[in-house]
Amino acid sequence: MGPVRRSQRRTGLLLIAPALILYSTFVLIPAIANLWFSFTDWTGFVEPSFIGLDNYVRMAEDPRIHQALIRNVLWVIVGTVVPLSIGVVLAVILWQHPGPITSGLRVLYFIPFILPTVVVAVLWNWLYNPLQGWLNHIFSANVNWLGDSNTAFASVLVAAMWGVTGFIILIVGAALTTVDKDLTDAARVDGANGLQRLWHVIVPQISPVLITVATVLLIGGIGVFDIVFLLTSGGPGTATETLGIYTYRRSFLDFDAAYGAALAVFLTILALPLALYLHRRRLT
Amino acid sequence: MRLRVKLDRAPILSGPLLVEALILFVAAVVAAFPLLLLVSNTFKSANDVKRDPFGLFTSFEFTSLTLAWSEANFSQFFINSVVITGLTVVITVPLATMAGYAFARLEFPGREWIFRLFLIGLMIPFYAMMVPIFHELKAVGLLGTPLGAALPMAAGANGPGATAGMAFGILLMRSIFMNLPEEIGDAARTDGASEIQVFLRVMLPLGIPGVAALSVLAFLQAWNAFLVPLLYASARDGKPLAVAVWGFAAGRTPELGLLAAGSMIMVIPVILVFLVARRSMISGLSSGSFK
Repeated sequence: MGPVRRSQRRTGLLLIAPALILYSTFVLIPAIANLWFSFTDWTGFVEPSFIGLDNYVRMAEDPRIHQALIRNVLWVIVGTVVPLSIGVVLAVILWQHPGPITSGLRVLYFIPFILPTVVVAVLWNWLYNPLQGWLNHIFSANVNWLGDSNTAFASVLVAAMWGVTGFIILIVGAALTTVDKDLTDAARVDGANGLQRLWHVIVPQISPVLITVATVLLIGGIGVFDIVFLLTSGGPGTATETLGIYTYRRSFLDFDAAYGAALAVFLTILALPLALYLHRRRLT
Repeated sequence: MRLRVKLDRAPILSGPLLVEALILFVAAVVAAFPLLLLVSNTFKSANDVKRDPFGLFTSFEFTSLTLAWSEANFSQFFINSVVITGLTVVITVPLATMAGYAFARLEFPGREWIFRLFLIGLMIPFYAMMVPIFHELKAVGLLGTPLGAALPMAAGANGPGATAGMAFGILLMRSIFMNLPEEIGDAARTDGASEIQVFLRVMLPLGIPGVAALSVLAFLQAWNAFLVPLLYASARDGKPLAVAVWGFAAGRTPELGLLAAGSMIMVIPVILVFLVARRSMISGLSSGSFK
C-alpha cells in the first residue's frame, strides 16, 4: 500500500466518522428500535414484552387504517396530478415569455412554497373561516369548510396544493432551460395549438424531471402530516385522518406506542418502492 | 399566413397570448391573496381586527407587531428558532461536507457500503424513528432543549418530505465534489500537501457553492420544521416560532392581530434569506436533488 492510499484511508474514515455517529444515533438505531417495538406490546412506559406479529394482525382488521389509506391514496393522486399540471402550464407560459414581469411572477409563485407550513395553515384557516372568511364571501356560500366532514379533506388538500405548486414551477422552469425553443416554434408553424405543442413537443423533452418531481410528491403524500395536523388535527372525528396522523395519535396520544411503531413500519414499506425508484434516478 | 405571423407578434391582440396572460394573472392572485391577508392583518389596528377581521388594509399601525414581540413573548420564540436553526445548520453542513468529500474523492475501506447505509436514511419516514428518538433524548437529558430538536434534524430525521439533513447533504456535497476535476487535488499532492490540506485548502474553496446551497436548504427546513420541535422542543419558554404560532392559533380565542404578527415574525427571515440567497436555494433544490 502506497503512502497516498494509506493517508487517504485514514483521512476518509476521519471525515465520515462524525456524520456516521450522528446518523447512527438519530436515524439508524431509532429505526431499528422502532422495528423491534412493533413486535411488542409496549405502551410507551412500562417494559415491553415480545408478542410477535400481533400488532400487524390487529392492523389488518383496523377500519381506521383502511379509511386513512383511502385518504392517502386520494391525497397522493389529486395532490400529484393537479399541482403538476398547473405547475407545468405556468412554467411553460413563463418560459415562453422571458422578461421583467414574468421573472417577477416567478418569485411570487415560489413564495408559498418557502412559507412555513404553520403559516400556510394560519392563512388558509382565515380563508376558510365559516363566518367572515373570504371563500364564503367570494362564493356567497355558507360552508364550514374545515368543520364539515364532507368538505374538510378537500379543503386541507387545496391548502397543501397551494403550498407546493411553486416548487414544481421552479423545478420544471429549470428543466425548460434545456428545451429547444426552435422545435416548439416549428410546431407552431405546422399549425399545432398551444396544448398540442405542450403535450407533444415540450413534455417529452422534460419527462425525466416530471417523473422525478411526481415521485417526490407521491412520497410526500404517503407521509403527509403537518398541514393536516395544523388545519384539522385529523378531524372532525377522523374525517381527515391520514396514516401519518393516525400513527402520531397512536404513538403519542393513545398510549399504544407499539401499535404506532407497527403503523410506522407499514408507512415505510408503503413508500419504499417509490423511494428506491427515486434513488435510482438521483444516482444515475 | 402573413397576417397570422403579425398577430402572433402583436402582444395584446393575439388570442393565445390573452389566454396565457389571464392564466398568469389568476395564478398571481391566488398566490398573492393569502399573503396580502397576512400583511393586512399584521398592520391592522385592534379596533379594526374586531370590527372587520378579514377586511384588507383598513388601517396601518405597528401595534400588533410590537405587542407580539414584547408582550406575547414572540421575541423569546424568535431567539429559540434562531438557536435551533443555527445549531442544525452548524452541525449539518460541516459534517455533510466532510463526508460528501470523503465519499467523492478518497479511497477507504467500506466506502461503498457505508455510503449505502446513509442512503437508507432517505427512505425511512420520520414516523419510523420518532418514538425511539423521544426516549433517547429523554435518557440523555436533551428532551425539551434546542439541541434536542437540532440533533435529530441534522442527522436527517426531518419529518415527512425531508430535503435537507445528513443523507441529503452528503448526496449533494458528494455530487459537487465529484464534478470537480481530479487533477487539481493531484497537483497539490505532488507538491507535498497532506490529504487534509488538499481537502481544506484546495477542494473546499471550490465546493463553496454547494456549501452555500446546503446551508440555505438546512436553514429553511429547520426554521419551518413543525413536528420535530413539537415533539422534542415544545417546552413553554424553549419552543420555536413554529410551535408557538401553532399554539397561539389553536388557543380558544386566538387574538387575530397577534397571530398575524407572530406569523409575520416567522415569515420575514425566510423571505430575507430567499431574497439574498435565491440562487443558492434554487440550485440546491434543482440540481442537487434532481440531476
